[in-house]
Amino acid sequence: MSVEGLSSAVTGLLAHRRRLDVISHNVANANTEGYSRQRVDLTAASGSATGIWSGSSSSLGGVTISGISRSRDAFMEMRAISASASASELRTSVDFHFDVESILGEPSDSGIAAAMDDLWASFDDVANFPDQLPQRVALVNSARILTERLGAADSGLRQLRQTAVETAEATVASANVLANEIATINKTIMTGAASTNHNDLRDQRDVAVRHLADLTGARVVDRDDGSVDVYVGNSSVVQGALTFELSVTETADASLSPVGLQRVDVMVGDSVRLTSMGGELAGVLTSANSTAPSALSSLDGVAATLASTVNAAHRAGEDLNADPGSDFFTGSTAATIAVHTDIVDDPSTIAAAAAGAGTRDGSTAMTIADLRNSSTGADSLYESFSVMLGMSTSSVERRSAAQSATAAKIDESRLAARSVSLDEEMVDLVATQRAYEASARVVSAIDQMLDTLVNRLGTVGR
Amino acid sequence: MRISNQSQTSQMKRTIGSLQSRIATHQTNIATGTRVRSMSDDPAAAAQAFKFNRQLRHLDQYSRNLDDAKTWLNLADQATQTINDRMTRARNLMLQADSGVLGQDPRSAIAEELRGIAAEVSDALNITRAGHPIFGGTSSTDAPFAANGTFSGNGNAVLRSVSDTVRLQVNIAGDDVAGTFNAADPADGNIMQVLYAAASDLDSGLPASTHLDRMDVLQQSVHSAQATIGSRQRAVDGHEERIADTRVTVEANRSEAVDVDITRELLDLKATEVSYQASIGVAGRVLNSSVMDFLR
Repeated sequence: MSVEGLSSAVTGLLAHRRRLDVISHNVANANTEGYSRQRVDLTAASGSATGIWSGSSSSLGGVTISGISRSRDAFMEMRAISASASASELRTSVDFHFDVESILGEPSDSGIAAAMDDLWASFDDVANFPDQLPQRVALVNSARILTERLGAADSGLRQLRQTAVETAEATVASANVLANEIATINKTIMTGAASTNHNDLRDQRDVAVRHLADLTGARVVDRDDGSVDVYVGNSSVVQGALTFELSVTETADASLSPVGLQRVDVMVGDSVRLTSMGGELAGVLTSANSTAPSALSSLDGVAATLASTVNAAHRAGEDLNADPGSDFFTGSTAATIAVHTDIVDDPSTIAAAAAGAGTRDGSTAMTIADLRNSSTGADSLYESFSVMLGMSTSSVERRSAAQSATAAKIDESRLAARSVSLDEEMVDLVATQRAYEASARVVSAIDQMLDTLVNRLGTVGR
Repeated sequence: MRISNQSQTSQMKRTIGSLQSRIATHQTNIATGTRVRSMSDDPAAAAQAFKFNRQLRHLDQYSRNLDDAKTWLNLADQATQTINDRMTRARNLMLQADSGVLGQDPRSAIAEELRGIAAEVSDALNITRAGHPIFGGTSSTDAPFAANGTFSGNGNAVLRSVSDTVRLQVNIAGDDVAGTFNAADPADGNIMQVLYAAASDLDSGLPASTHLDRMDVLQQSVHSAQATIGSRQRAVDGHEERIADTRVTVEANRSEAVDVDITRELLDLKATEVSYQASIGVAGRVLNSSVMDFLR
């Protein structure tokens, strides 16, 4: 019996030395990103199977290490992944909206709205001094400033959109790298010996999955062989050791062609178009396929209305040479709108007068200046565009703030479940130390008992 | 609930970070004096500010137009005053010529002076505002009234926008001031024609008083032109006042919508600072304590 006790005390010593190793591993990784606290799972050794059935009292006893497990809350992990993916989608969206807003720069005294008012004011000045050249030159300048601002806003939006496309490409490239990393880890785990401890590899894979989810809104499904499958939107991206390459393409789309753009798509392999993804990629694609084109088309609408209303009024007028007015603006998009070259070359061709009313009449210029009050005019269009943009930016911003806060809280719960608490480790350390000491004491007690048995027994009458 | 070191530090970083960003927002608000720097900061207020900014820019232009209108009316006022004075002088001269005590030489001198007055009147009628003869309508001629009274201008209105809906007429048709040119019967024509007719009558020994009735009619129309100018000047003053009042109201509204209430902002900043200091204090204490202090 005593000898068996000795061996079970030895298992105690070994088990607690292992626990000590794990505690030191935990403490060392207290601040490692994605590390999950590891635990030595101890099981009481209740003797051999034959011992149980034979009813023999002989039992080895002691403790066995049944495994080293990771402490993590699987449900919380899932929630944290999807919450963080939505948060990063919204954050990308907000950033893009902010960029669009800063390109327009309203409300300000140097934006498009101010330039339009300057244009109307210049028309009024020409109406006040119809036969004076300086006012006409000033009008041409005001009109050019306005068309330049429209053009600058248009090219700024297009550059921003191009940045979104490039971001989509970079995101997809990172996603591919992460997917490969996950597949490689899957392969190592699947092919490795079942007994091998893969906890640290699994942690690494969790980190990769989280990054991939932030980028693409990926979902993850655990499999029995220890690997994970990763899905993005309508497609599988990682299956065991296999990955499916993502790529970015541009496709013609009827709704985007009016602003001269193509739809940005993410493809899986060569033929499947990825839909309903999430994360940064979804935010970038929405920006590139919806936010930027709609801002561009609103701006084009403003330019087209400006050109058509001013041109219509201007054509009804008469210039200083008693010729009927031509178009004042050429082009009908924000990028192409410009003051008619004839007018730039010779401002006397501005038709400020009503037909036949003489060179000192300014009524046509005054009619054009009155367009500022038109409820369907370019100013109103631009104003409602700016206000709508502000509204949608602020609503995305609020949603993003709420989602980020939620994601942060869920992530804290996730971290609370999985990461290392030093206090806990210290207490465990003390307990382990104590148990180790106690096991050692058991060994020495049994040793004394054996000493008694071997050396003190049978010495009666010696 | 289990707390780990990472969850604890992450939460602290998040709460302290959010307080810091609130302090930064307060600071920017105070520094810029406005709490709406982009449309999304407060879309409703920004939409109002957008409208108010446009309205203020429109008011700027309307008050410029109004200044120009004022110049026009003042010029017309001076011109009609001069014309009225000269006509009174001409009338006196005509009465003097017909008094019966003067011989032909003085009567010829008076005739000469009447022609001079005709030239002065036509000069006054040809007065321009930046090259635009104010009694010539919208015609391109630079001097609508010739010395003999021929009128080459037109009667079109010259208007100035002074509000979103009101256009104020700033000119008076040449005919309304000088009378209508009458080629067939100069004695029934405009001021210059009548003065010339009177002068030639005097030269040929005829009485000038036959023209006095027509002179009275013409002077009446100058008077009524002056009345019109006066009432328009009052309208201009009214519009000027209205624009000034509207500007004050719009500026107040805009300020109400977007400007920072410094007192409130400072109080909020102070409150945020207090919670910021408290939370870094707490963080410092919590992070410093550990079970290791108590285990031997």
